Amino acid sequence: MDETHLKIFIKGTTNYFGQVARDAAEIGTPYLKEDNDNVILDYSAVIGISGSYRGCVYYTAPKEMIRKLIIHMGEHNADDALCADFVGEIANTIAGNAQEELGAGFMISVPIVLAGNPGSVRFPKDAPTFVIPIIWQGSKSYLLICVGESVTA
Amino acid sequence: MNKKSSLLNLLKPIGWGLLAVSFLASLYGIFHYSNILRRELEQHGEVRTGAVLVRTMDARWIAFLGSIEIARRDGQPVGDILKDLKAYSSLTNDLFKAYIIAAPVKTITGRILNIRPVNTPVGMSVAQELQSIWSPLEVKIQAIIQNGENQNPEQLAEAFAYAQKHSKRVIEISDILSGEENIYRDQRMAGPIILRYILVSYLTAVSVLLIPIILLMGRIRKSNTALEESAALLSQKNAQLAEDARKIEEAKRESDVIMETVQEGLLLIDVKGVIGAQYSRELERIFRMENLAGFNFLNILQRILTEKMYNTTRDYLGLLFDSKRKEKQILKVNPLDVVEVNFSNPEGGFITKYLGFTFRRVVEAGVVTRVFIGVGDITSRVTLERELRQSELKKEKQFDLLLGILHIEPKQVQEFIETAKKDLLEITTTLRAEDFAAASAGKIDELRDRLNVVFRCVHNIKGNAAYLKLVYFQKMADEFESKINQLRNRPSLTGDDFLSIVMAQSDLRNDVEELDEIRSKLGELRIGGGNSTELFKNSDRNGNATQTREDELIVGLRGLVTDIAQKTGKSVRLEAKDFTAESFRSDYRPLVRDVLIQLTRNSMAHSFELPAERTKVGKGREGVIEIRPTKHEESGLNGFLFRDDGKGIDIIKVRERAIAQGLITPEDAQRMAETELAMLIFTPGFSTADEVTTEAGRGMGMDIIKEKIIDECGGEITVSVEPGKHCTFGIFLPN
Repeated sequence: MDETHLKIFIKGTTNYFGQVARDAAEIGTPYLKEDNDNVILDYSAVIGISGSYRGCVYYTAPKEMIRKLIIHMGEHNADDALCADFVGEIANTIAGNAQEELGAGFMISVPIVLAGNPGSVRFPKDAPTFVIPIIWQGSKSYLLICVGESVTA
Repeated sequence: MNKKSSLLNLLKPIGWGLLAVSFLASLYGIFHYSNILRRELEQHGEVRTGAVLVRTMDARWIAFLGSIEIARRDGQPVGDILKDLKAYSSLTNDLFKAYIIAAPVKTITGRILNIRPVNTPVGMSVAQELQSIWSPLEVKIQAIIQNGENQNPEQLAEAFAYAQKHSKRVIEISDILSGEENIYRDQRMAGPIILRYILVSYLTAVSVLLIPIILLMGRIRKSNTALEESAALLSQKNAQLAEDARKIEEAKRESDVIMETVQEGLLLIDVKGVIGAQYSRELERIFRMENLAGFNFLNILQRILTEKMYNTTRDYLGLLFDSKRKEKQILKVNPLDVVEVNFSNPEGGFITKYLGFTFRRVVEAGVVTRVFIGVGDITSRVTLERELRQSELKKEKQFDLLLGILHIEPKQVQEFIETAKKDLLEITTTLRAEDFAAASAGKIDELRDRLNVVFRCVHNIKGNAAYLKLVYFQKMADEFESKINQLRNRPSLTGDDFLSIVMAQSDLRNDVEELDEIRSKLGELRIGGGNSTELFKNSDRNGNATQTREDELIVGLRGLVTDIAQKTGKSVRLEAKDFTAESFRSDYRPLVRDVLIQLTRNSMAHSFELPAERTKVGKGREGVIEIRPTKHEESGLNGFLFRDDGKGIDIIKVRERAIAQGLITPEDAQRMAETELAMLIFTPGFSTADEVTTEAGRGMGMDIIKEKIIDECGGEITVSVEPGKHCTFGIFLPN
């Protein structure tokens, strides 16, 4: 996985905010996740990746940001279930964009949405995990990408 | 059970037939009895008529005999009378005999009387008596008849007298016969007779019917025999079939056992891709699905293959079913020989497996009707191969790394790793910083500052690698620096511009970790070998052991000087009398090392001239770096002087570059002293090198020294420059 691939995932995320929320998100400085880092906020969605590449992409956001996003889009009843749905939707958009860009050799799983802090999420050890802060209206969420090339790819 | 049913089914119509026959026989018996009764009554009447005739016969005899006598007397012919007598004689004879032996009797009028004996004792007796009366008379009458017209009056009289004599008895017999006939009739008409007739009728009917029944039974028997033969044959066939079925069942059981236990997915698909009824249990485990019969094989593949691989497989199966294509050729291009498949994990993501598919055609009448498929879960094999492959690559790399550190003291390698890890972590910390996350336009300068921090860290790693002659890491760090430099030259920066930085950081971190792994293993080897110091004892560049133990840092610096000198064609030696890093606080020692490395590299890159140039300006061919301990005159801080006898800092060039880079204005440049101008080399990003090399040109390094010594540790830096002759740096650290 090179810089181009990472950018595809980032683009998917910014597309969501730019096109769906109609208010662009800023990309913070990416950094490498250390073993003891635990980047998990209130709502998280995990997408499994397989095929030519293997690993997972993880989007996590604070409740306050998701609520703000929902209200921004005209829905005032931003309950927990809706917040979880929104995070899943963001993950879906990221996955869809990656699928479009990376082609038929790329398999993406249905996002698994986690509400609350599950403690920790396991990432594949044979690939580095890149943490990309996504800032929208002053709130920070994170996109974590841990994807390596598949053996038979 | 079936035979019994068949028999019952066969007997049922017979029973109904017999019942019908009984009924008909009863009707027939009654009808027959009525008929008999009628005939009995008729015959009874005829017998009684006969009895009456008997009575009249006697009168006739007397009348005829009297008439003959009269005619004789009168001389009248007797011929007609004889004729009638003869007829009556015959009638009498028939009639009387009929009462003994039943016989029809034709009367004179032509009426036929069916006379039968009156079978009572009396009837039988009188019938015999009547015959006995008649027989002598008949003789006499016959003689009279024989006499014809010449009648003998004596004979006539005798006959006449005989007839008259028995006339009364004949009349009595006639009455007796009538009376006995009534008795006999009553006996015959009695009930048992009816029943007998009914029975007889019944038996007759049954007998008559029995014939076809017997015939039928015969037929049935024959049929039964045939049936039994057929049954026997059927039984034999059934036994054969049962045996065959048992064998088939046994074969199926064996087949099922094979299908249950075989460690490979086996299946057949038709031209539409539909899976047949028989497949191995393993297939369900492999595909993580149950009841696969009837499923479409392609639909299953579509779930677990990438779209690209699925399309390829679909086309491939199309080729397999194309009878015109040669199987051998098709099998050679099996796209599923080894394929990665992915099952959705309910807990998120995928479960990845590696499967190996084999295909064989099933051809019937020249047409490919089905394809036999074998599927094996080869995950373990592929994983092992992958691990072996990765292990090989890793080993190759580790071997290179190992070769690269064999010449280095283990402690130095460890220090390099620790420093590198620290620098890499600092990069992460810097990039992760909250106030650095948003890369808005106003924060570009902030981004640049942090970029510089990243650069310093990488530069430090590179310097340490060069010092230890870790060429691989030196190269990696240099490439890393190139990426950072590309960003430095951009007019604006955004967050995702740093992706290349973290990618390079990731690679470098991975390499450092590998080096750490090797170091660890090597350490174990050394401990195990019990000769840990021999290989790495102090030695000079040529591997010759030195007489006295020299400071490891100085040994490293000397090596660094030699390396760079060889690369650049310069000739330099390093002297370090009385200097030892041990004289500094232990937590400053790495910093002292980093500073000395940086200063050495700077001198080698910027200060020292080539030997020919040095000779030209009257210097010795070989340049000299001198390191010696000293104390800061004002602050009293402990430190050291680093002096090189090269051309020193090119103040003119510093001035020009500083103005060009906007660090100072031309006016500032005019009024600044040489020492002040020299201090500009500690400005981040400043460099006087004309081109970038691995040794210099990034404009980084001196600013790190300033930041570390002054900003972080509270130390001092002094610079003394005599352009063209020497340059001396003083580095002082708190005690």
